[in-house]
Amino acid sequence: MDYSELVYAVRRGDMKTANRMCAQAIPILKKYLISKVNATPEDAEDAVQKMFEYVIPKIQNDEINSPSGLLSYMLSGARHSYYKIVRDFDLDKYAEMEEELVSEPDQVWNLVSEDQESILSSCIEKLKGHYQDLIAFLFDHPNADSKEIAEYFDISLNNAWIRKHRVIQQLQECVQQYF
Amino acid sequence: MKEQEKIQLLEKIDRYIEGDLSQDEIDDLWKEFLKNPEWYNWFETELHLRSLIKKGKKPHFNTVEEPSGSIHQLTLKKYSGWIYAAAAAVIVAIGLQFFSFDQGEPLPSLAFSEIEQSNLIGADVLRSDDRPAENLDVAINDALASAYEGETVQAIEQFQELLHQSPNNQQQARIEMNLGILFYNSGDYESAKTHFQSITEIESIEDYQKEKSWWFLGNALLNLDEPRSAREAVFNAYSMNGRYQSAALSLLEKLDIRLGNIPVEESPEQLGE
Repeated sequence: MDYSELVYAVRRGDMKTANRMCAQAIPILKKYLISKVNATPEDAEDAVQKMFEYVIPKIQNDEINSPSGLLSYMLSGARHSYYKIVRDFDLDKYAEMEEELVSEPDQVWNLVSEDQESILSSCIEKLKGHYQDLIAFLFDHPNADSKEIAEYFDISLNNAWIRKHRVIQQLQECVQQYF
Repeated sequence: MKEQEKIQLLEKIDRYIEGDLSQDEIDDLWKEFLKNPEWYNWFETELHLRSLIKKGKKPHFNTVEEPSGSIHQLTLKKYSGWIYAAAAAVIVAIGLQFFSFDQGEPLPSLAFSEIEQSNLIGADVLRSDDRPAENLDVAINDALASAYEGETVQAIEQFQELLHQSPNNQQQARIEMNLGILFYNSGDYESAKTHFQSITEIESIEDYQKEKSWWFLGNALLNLDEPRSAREAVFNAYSMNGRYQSAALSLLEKLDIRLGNIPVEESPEQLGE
C-alpha cells in the first residue's frame, strides 16, 4: 500500500480515497497495539480511530510530508492515543511513558486467536506431500530452526526457507478462505 | 517480491516471534506490514502455526475426515469417481487477497501462488444409472491418482496421452483442467495457459467449469506478465456470476488501476463509504 497516495488524497480533500486507505490500515494498527503495548481490542480500536483524527489535520497542514514519516507517525500516534486512553497523562511525558510500556516478547502471543488456530488446524490437515512432511517435522521438533530443517530434508538452507515460506503461503491462502 | 527478500522477511518474522528483535526493529517490521498487508498475513499464519506447535496440537494427517473437495490417496486408488465429481462441485474460492498489493509489486504477485489440489477433477466412474465406466474415464482417474500421490510428471504424461484418445467434451474439459492445474503448480504458466484457454473454447460444458477456467487462465496470464489478456480472462470469470465473482472483482479493480483504465482516486470503493 502506497501511503503517498493517502497524503495526496487528504491534501486534495479526496476523503473517499483517504477513508478507504485508512480502513485498510486500521486492522494492522490495532494488532500492533495489541502486541506492542498489550492493549485490549476495544482500546486498540479507540486509539487507532483517535490517532487518525489527529493525523489527518497534520497532513492537511503539511506537517507530515513523506510516506515513511507518516508510517512512523501512525505507529507512535497510535501508541500516544492508547496511553491517553488508559491514563490521563501529559503528552509531554511521552518518553517516560514509553520506557514503562515497552513491548514484552510474550505480548506477540496476544495476537493468537483460538478460532484462527482451529481454522489453521483444518488447513494443515489438508496439506499433501512434502508440505505435510515439513509440518509433521516441525510438530515433532518444536525447536528446530531452518538449519535443522535443511539437514533433515537434505536440502540447502535457502531451500529450507523457501519451502517454509511456501507452506506458510499455502496455509494462509487456505485460512483466508474462511474469512 | 524476490525469493531472497521473502527469506529475509521470514527470518525477521522468526526473530520477532522468538523475541529477538529490538523495539525499533519491531516498529520497522510493523511499518512493512502496513505497507504490505499480505506480509502481515504471513506473520499471523506463522504465529498461529507456532502456537499450535507450542501447544502440541498435532495434526491428524491420516485419520481426519477430509472435506468433500479433498480426497484420501487410498480412496483414490479405488477410483471412487463419485468423490471426484463431488470434488468438482466444490470450487474453493482462491486468492481473495488482492487488496494488499501496491502498484510497485510485480504483476505475478497479484496471482495466487498455487491452485489447491482439491480443484483437480476426476471422471464419473460410478454412475447413477449403473452404466459401466468407459475406459477413458478409468484412465482419467488413474492419472488423477498419480497426481494426488505427488507423481506430477507421470500424471502430466498420462493426461497428455489421454488427450490423444478422442475424449468427449466433458472428458476433455476434465483432462485439460487437470493439466492446467498441474502445470500451474509446477510454474509452467505457458502450458497452464494453453490448457485453461482450451477449456474456454469447449462447447456444451457446465458454466462453473468455464468460469473456473477463465479464473485460472487470468491468474496464469498474470504470472506471464500479460496484464491485458489477464484482465479479459478475469473479466470473463467475473461476468459469469459464479463462485469467483467477488475475487475476480477485486482483481479487476487492481488491474484497472494498473492499466490506467481508471485513476487510483476513482477506483471502486471497498471500504469507507
